[in-house]
Amino acid sequence: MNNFLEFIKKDIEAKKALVSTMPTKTKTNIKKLNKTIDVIESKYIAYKNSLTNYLLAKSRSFILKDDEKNVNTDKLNEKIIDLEHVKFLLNPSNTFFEKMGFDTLLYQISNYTTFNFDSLNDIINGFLDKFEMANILLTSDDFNYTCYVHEYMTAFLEVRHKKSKNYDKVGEVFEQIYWINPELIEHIELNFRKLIKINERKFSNYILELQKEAMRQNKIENYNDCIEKLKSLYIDLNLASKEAPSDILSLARSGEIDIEQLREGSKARTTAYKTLIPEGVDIHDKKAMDKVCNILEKLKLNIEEYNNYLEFLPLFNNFKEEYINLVPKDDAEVSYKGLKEVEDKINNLENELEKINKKIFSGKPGFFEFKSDHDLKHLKAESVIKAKELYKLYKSYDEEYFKSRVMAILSNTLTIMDLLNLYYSFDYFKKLAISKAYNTTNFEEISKYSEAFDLFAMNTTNIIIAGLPVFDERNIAMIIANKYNLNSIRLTEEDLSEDNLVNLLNKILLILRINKIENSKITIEKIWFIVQVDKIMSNEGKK
Amino acid sequence: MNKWEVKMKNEERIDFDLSRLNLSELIESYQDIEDFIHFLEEQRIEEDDLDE
Repeated sequence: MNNFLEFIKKDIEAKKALVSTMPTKTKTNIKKLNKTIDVIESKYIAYKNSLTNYLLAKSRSFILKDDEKNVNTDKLNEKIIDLEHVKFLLNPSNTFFEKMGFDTLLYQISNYTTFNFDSLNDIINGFLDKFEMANILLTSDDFNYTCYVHEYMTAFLEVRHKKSKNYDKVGEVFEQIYWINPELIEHIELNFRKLIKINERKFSNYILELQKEAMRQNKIENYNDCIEKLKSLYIDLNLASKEAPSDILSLARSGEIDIEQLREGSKARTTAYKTLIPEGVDIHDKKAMDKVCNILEKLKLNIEEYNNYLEFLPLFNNFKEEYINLVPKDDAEVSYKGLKEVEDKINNLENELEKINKKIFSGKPGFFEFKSDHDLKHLKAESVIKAKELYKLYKSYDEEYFKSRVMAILSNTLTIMDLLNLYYSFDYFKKLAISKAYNTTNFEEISKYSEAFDLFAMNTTNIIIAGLPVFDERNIAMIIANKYNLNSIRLTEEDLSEDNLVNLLNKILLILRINKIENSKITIEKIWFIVQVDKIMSNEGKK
Repeated sequence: MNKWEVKMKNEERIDFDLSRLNLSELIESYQDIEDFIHFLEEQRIEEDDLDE
């Protein structure tokens, strides 16, 4: 008998019969039974050891290496990161304000209730760092929005200049002020807003220099040139990072995919082929299957894009509801003055506040000194009331600022792609819109949505949304299904419903992976074997 | 030596060629052996607990 498996099957059967029928009535019987078990077991342990060594050696001989691919994708990723930075700097949709990241910091400081005291100090330091980057060194005199802001920032800057990390003393000052002026943080925010406004030219020049340097270093002519180069890099990256057999092997070994589903005869494989392979295509015909897989690759990208679109549909719908009535009719020019009006109100009120502050800081209410503490207290209270009003006005300013950006591009033909670019360019408003659309104030949740949104907006393979109008109903599921029915891929709107999308994507991935493996040196059986050996080795290690 | 002991001695002389097995059979062999060792362990009876 030469076949090991046949031998052990028969042998195990026989030895099971032997062990089960051995007498166990007396101690002698039992001793004999245990001795027999010892002999058989030691023999089988020896078989197992030899077999395990053989399995491991065989499994290792199948493992693929793909180091070259990683080097290529790493290089492409580095180039893309550089060019994304240039794109960010050259983005014509926003201003120095967003490019300096002030909108992100303002979003953070306006959500100060989410943070602790240390995080608040980090945000304030973040603002100060950005001023220093543009060579603007702020002193305590610049923080004069209210006397309380002045007091707090004087203590803060003292610690910062010492380069100390100990903000305990600042914490004490905060504690003292907080009970008189609980809106202190909001007023610090206003002070920074005012300082940004005052230094607008310096920041714009700083960004201009950065743009020149970035264009020179990356040999970029202008924004469009940058976009074209990025597109081509993303195409290269998509090709270089296409799932390779070694990736499929890694996914199977880590348990992220079930390799059993890829094996011939598996229910998942049969169903996937039945659903997606056009009638009349011979699945054993390599050329025909390669052609089908090319189409399925495109369908996969379309589905991923559609899935992203569905995830952010509440955001798009929210925008639609808010702006549908403002869309200009028949190319008529809409005169929009909202922003200017709020700006004027802010300037007037800030002038009034400045006058009050002058009296407080000089210690003179007019030509004469304060008659009593009561006068000073009264002025301080008045300044806080004005600052509170200003905070509300700045919130309207934010709304009008974004509205002015929207009005500049608002039309019947506005596409989802335009909307992605708009929100991508204005982080602060994107986060506000997310908060509204998903009815959440949870900072972490909003940040997560925001990151996913940016990835969607940055994806150069987006094709459906490029021509998809914001203000017009389109049945995207039907459009995708019809397109692929022309390629004989049997798809229905139902297959593309939100609930079935992941299932459809998994079927496509399954077919693509089988095709990828069948066109490579490795086989599905070998991958399955490696995974089984991994499990055996892990099991043996635990003993 | 009883007949089982003779059989076992003979088996030890058999040189199995594992390369004749396909991948599924190799894994099946391991599983059969593993299950059998488990079966043997269950059949074992503690000698200390028993009276003559």
